[in-house]
Amino acid sequence: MSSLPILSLTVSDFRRLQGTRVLPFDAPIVLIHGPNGTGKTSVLAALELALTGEVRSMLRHDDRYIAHLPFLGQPYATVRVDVAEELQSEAAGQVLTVGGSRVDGQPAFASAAAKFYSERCYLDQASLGRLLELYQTRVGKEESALARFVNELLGLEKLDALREGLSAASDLRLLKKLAVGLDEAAVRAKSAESSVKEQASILEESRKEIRDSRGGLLEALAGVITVDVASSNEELIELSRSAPDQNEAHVAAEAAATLHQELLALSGRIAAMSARPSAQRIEDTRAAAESAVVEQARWQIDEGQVVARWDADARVLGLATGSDPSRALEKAVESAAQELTAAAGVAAQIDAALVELELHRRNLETTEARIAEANMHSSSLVEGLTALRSTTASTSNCPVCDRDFTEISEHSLLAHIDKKIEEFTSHGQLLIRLRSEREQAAAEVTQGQSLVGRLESQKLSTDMLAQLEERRARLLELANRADAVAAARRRGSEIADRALLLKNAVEDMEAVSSEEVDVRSQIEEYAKLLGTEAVREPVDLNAQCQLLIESARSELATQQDLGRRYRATQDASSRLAEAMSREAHAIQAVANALSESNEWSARHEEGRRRQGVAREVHDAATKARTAIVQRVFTESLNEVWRRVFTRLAPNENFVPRFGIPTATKAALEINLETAHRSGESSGPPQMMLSAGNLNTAALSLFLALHLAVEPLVPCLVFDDPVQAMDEVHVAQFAALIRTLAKQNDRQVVIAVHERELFEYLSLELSPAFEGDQLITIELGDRAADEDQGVTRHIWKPDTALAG
Amino acid sequence: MSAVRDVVTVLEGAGYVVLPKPLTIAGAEFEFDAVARGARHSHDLVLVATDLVPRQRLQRLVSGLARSLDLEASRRPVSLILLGEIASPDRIELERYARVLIISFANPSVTEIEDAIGVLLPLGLPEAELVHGGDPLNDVLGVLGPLGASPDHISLIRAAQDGPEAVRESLRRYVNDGTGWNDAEATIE
Repeated sequence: MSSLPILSLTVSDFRRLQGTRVLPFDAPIVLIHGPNGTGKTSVLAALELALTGEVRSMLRHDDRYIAHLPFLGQPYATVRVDVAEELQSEAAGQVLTVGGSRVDGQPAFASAAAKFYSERCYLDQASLGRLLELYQTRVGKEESALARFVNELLGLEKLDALREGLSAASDLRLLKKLAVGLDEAAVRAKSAESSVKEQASILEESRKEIRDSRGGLLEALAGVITVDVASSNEELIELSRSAPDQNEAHVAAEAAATLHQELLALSGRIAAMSARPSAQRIEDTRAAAESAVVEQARWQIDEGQVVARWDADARVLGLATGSDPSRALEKAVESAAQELTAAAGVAAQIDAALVELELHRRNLETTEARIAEANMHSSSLVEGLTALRSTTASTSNCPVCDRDFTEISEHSLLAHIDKKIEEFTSHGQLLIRLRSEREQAAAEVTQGQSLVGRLESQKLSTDMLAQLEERRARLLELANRADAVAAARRRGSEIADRALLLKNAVEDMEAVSSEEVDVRSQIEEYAKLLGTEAVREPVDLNAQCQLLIESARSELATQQDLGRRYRATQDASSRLAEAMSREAHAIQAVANALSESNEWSARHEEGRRRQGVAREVHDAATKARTAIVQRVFTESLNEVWRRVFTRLAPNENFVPRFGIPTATKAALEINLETAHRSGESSGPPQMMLSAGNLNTAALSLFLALHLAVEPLVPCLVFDDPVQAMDEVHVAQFAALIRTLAKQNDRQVVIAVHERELFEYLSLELSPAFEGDQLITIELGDRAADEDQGVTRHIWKPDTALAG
Repeated sequence: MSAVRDVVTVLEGAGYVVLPKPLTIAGAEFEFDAVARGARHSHDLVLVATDLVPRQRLQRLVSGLARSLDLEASRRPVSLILLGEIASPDRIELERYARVLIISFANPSVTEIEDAIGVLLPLGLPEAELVHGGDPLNDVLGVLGPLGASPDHISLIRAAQDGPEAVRESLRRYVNDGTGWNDAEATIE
């Protein structure tokens, strides 16, 4: 047996234990007996406190339980436990002091050992009855204690990390989000693939273009040069370069077009010529012209002189004999008549003016006489009165009559004189008006004299009047001859016109004859140019010209056709060359695109392959997880539980077990069920088991959970575990404890309160081999004995059996 | 009697030593179908009887044996394996002297025998590596098999030591590397 975990416990004034007790625990089995109320549970609570720093079962009931730990009336309690070296905390051997609300000192076990002890080693009395409930209760989001134990057992953290970390490998969309390179490669690969298709299509098009343009070039060359149809494309292009230049063809076509145009113009000239008179008509016209000249001479002798004479007479009379002598004559006659009428008018006006003048003269004389009289009268009176006034300045007596003026008037004499002077002075105003009338009369006399003078100047002399009468007579005579002269003049003009017309016609005809010579020579030249023989007279010039035009048109058509062919050759050759260039580019582009496509496809495939690798790992992890869960649950947990349970309750047909959880889920759902001994699944333990066997199921689960893991603290501590058990179960339990202690190296501490049971267990658990021990601790009255109720049972050889 | 033989075989398989018949203690002889004692760390005395033995006689035998052991001051625990049926009062009487394990099947199988007398047998616990099967990642390699586990597989599996984020990062780099992705330039090289 490896070293025992718990070696001894010292406890002072702890709960029901008064004073200090040192209890040895250094045996594989420690059996504690104490009737109720003697501190049996206190010992185990003190042990738990000393080992772990707390008492869990009490903590569950009251979080201020520490205050109740010291013995009644004591301020504090102390506990101390000695443990195996490998389980010790740094504070091993220290005393824990508890009281009030605090625990001073460090527990004996290191934290992992303490936790293990609390959860998997110590089954307190209070917990046994509700163990299944405690195991399965979940607080908030925390796992149940059972789930936590199982997960610790499974050790799936790494597998779950692996599965969670690789989860994206099962979903391409997620994986692409995670590893963007894969997404990029997929996109590029697809793009490159479509680029390959696109470039291949361009290549195919350029090849079709090559076929088409080669066909076109062969066709075009066939009309120009002899071609071997088996020639390569390059040879065909070279051959097309040796064909005549398009410019040459153009020049030839231009020359042919010019020639054609010139011939058309010549044809026009010929047409114009044919519209003119013939040679015969020239002679007739010439004769007519000569006859017209003779007739003209004869008219000159007969009528020309009459006309000349009339013209001379007319010129003498000052007539213009230009374009319309009869009209001029008519005007002249009219003018002479008007002049005579005007002269008669002037004579009558002079007579009337002289009468008027005489009247004005008489009027003037009358006015002047009145003025002279008025002058004489007024001036002498004024002078006398003025002289008189100076003498009467200071008197009212008249100087003339010496009478007192006041006798006859209320005014003064001086005022009277002044009034008279004023009256004479106003008589001057009359004089002024008379003078104005004299001036007007004088002006009218002057005007009448002027008018008579002017009219006198206009008056024709008698000679002049006689001349005017003669002129009119001569003009009238000329008018009498005018009609005959006009007729003669018309005839002369007609004769002259005809003669001039005929003369011009003769000149025209002579010009036509010379044009024909020129045209004929041009036709010969054009015929030479066109390579045809011109036929000499009398063949129709127009017909010849038409032949030449036809020939020129044919030449033009030939040149244009050649031009088209050359052009077609050039075009087809260029197309072929371009198509070949495009093909070369397309081939390169296809090669590039293929290379790109291959590269990206390869990268993408590699990415997908790696996805596959990751998925294999993920799937393998899932399988491994399933296998581990299966193995742990069936071969480990359930098997141990079954073995323990069937030992304690051999007659129970329903065996409790864990339902196998779904392994693929990250969080395991822990369910308890039962299985019939036949192997068939059945309901949960709470439903299928009796109350006694349900306790047994809980106890056996506690043991199984302890036994299924590496025993960090190889010890089991029970506080009255058999209270509800019947005899059979007690016997089975005792046998199991013995096996655990003696064969499975667990230190076992059991506290019981029944004396009989204590005795039975002492016997059942007695030392079985050399070195084996059993410690019994009796509380209550026995504690007062010398050995303080502690008995160390040593193995002694058994001689009862012979064999 | 083959059932008794089977029981003995199971006991012997569990390390018990079969004692010669009759069993003699303190000069007294006790006739059982078979008797065995524990060896090494067990000092159990195991009696095997069938229901062919009359109840009264069986009770006398067992109580006599207990008294003889007391006389010899022996502390050996006594277990009686009884093949067959037994009435409850008889059983209670027997249990005053010994642990009574009943195999009530007519022709019990080895498993039925083992279940019935389980407390006498060693408690087989799972192998340490079964419970703590070493590194569960080794199980993943086991599933993949020696041919299926390439260095790439192993590299991904190893990342699980550092948690799920490390695995995810490892996966990200692994796939990105395969496609030529360069994190530094955040683009494909």
